[in-house]
Parts: sequence; C-alpha cells; structure tokens
Amino acid sequence: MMHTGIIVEDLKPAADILMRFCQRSGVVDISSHFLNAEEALDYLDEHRVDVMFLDVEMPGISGFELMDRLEYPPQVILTTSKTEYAYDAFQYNVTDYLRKPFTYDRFLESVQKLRVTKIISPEAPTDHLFIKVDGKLMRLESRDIHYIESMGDYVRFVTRDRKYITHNTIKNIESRVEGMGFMKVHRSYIVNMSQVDDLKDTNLIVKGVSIPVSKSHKMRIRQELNII
Amino acid sequence: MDPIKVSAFRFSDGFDVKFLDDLYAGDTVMAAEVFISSLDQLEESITMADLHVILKDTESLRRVIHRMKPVFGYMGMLFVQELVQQFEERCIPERRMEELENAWHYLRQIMSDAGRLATRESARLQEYNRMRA
Repeated sequence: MMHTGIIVEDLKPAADILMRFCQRSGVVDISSHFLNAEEALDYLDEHRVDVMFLDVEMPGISGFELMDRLEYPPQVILTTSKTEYAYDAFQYNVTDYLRKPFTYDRFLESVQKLRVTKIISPEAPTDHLFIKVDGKLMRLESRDIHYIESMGDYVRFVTRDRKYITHNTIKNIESRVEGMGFMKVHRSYIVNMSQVDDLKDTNLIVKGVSIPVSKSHKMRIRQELNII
Repeated sequence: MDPIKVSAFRFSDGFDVKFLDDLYAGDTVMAAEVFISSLDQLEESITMADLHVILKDTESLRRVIHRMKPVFGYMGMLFVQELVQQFEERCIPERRMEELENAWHYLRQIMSDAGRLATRESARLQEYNRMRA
C-alpha cells in the first residue's frame, strides 16, 4: 500500500535522506518538501496526504504549532534530533518519533506503523429485500413496501398489492432496511417515507392508512418529510 | 522498492562505519550528496554561531547548534553529535554568554577538525562514484 506524504524539514541533508528512504521503500510517495511549517500549512489547506514527516524546531512556527493549526492533520511521523520532545510527541498522538539521524531499518519500522486510510465510496443503496413466506423466499422491491408492522414474533409487510407475514422482529427489520428510505416511527411501525401522504397530529397517512407516531419520533419525522 | 545496493566503498576508520553502512546501504551517490550538503550546512552554521556568540544571543546560538547537530550523524560522526548535544543543553537563556564562550571555542575546534575529516571522506566518495560512472 503506497501512502502519499510530505516532508517538513529545514535541514537539507535530513530532507535528502528522508526522500531517498521513501523512494527506496516503495511505501511512501512524497509529493512535496517544505523548508518551514507555514508553507506546509498553506499546502495542507488545499491538499490531503496520508503522512507528514515533521521536524519540530524550524524557523517560524514549530512542528507542534503546525499540528495545532491543522483541522484535519494527517498521520505524523516526527523527525527531530532532540529526545526531550518525546513526551509532547506522545501527547499529540503521533504515529512515530524518529530521532535524527536514523537508519533505513528504523525508518521502515516507522512507516509500517502507518494506518491504511482509504476513501470508502458510499455503497449503492439496496433497492430490495428478501423475506421468507410459507417457506419460500420472496423478493420485495423497497419502493413497493408502504410500511412494516410488528405482530409480536412476526412482522407484516404491507405493499401496494398485498400483505406478507414473516417470522421476524421489528428490531431486526429496522437494521436491515437502514439506508433504504425507511424510518421507525413507532415501536411497532416502520414506514417507507417516500409513501407518506400526510402527517395529522400523531399519525402518518401512508396510502390512506393511518399509522401511529411516537412523540419521540415526531421531530425527526418532520425533518425527514422536509416540513418547513 | 529499490534493491539494496552492494558497494565496494569502505568508509575510513575514525567514522562510525557500521552506522554509515546502515544509513546509506551501499548507495554511495546518496552518501556523496548528503556529505556535500552536510558540509555546506556545517560551514554556514559555524559562521552563524560565531555571530550569535559575538552578539551574546544565547537562544539564537542554541537554535543554530540544534539545527547543525544531526549533520555530524549523517557524516558518521556520532561522537561529535553527542558533544554538540551537550553544548546545546548548556545554552539556556539564564546562562550568560561569557560562561559559554570557552566551551564554544573548544567545540568549534572539534567541529572544524571533524569538518576537515569529512571533507576528505566526501572527496573519496565523489572519486569512487566518478570511477564507477
């Protein structure tokens, strides 16, 4: 896994060695090197990187001040020649602390501590579910379901054309339909919010059927229905 | 990932050879570049430090000393780096420059000698790389 990174280091030999170590490792791809923290701050305002190799004492603001100013700091590997900063490094929860000069093996040990950060693309919402009715699996399109009603150890799926009863609990169903446009409006009812026609006092009207609404859910329902 | 290079170059006695071998792993081109930039840095830093001693500016002296310290490590002179570290620790704001001056001149002499040794090693490295090219 290749990480993207920057080097913030005012000492040229130190930056040169670090750059070569990164190249040799094949683990970190360095996009930029900055001689001071201010320039790095500007860069990080507009770019995201996985890791920042950061010196502590530099002209202008220090490495710690840089971390303070970043809203979303990347993982940080501190590179300093002063052991006294170890405690502060711990306080800042940095990934590692390298004392200059460090060997390639020590560098490798450090980058192996980097967490893999990847952007997880949102999954396409599921548009259906399968229920077991009379021992057979049946596919229900989520857009066809009006609401789901608890009946003790059973639940009833009310669709445009039919009603299906299956052995399950409303609590279990709630977690299965999460993100599909459904909402629990009462301890016994989950409603397909796209099928709601009206909200009257303490009831939702779903295709002509009145569904009770719990007081605790009312505010969220109003938000969900975009009532202004 | 680059393979570790095998080199016939041997660092001279007087340097921390094992550390240099670990650091450069046979990459004599990188070693030559780092020696050159370290020597440049050393020269610049000694000049700056002299100036801060004259101006009796202890904190600025400490900053320069702190910055130059690892260059000795990059040139395989960890014992000099340790001496520089000890001097840095003495550069506290409460300490008057008069108390530091003797120690500075002693350290400066050691650093200059180390610089001369490193210059020779840097030349050896460059010559080795030229022969291989």
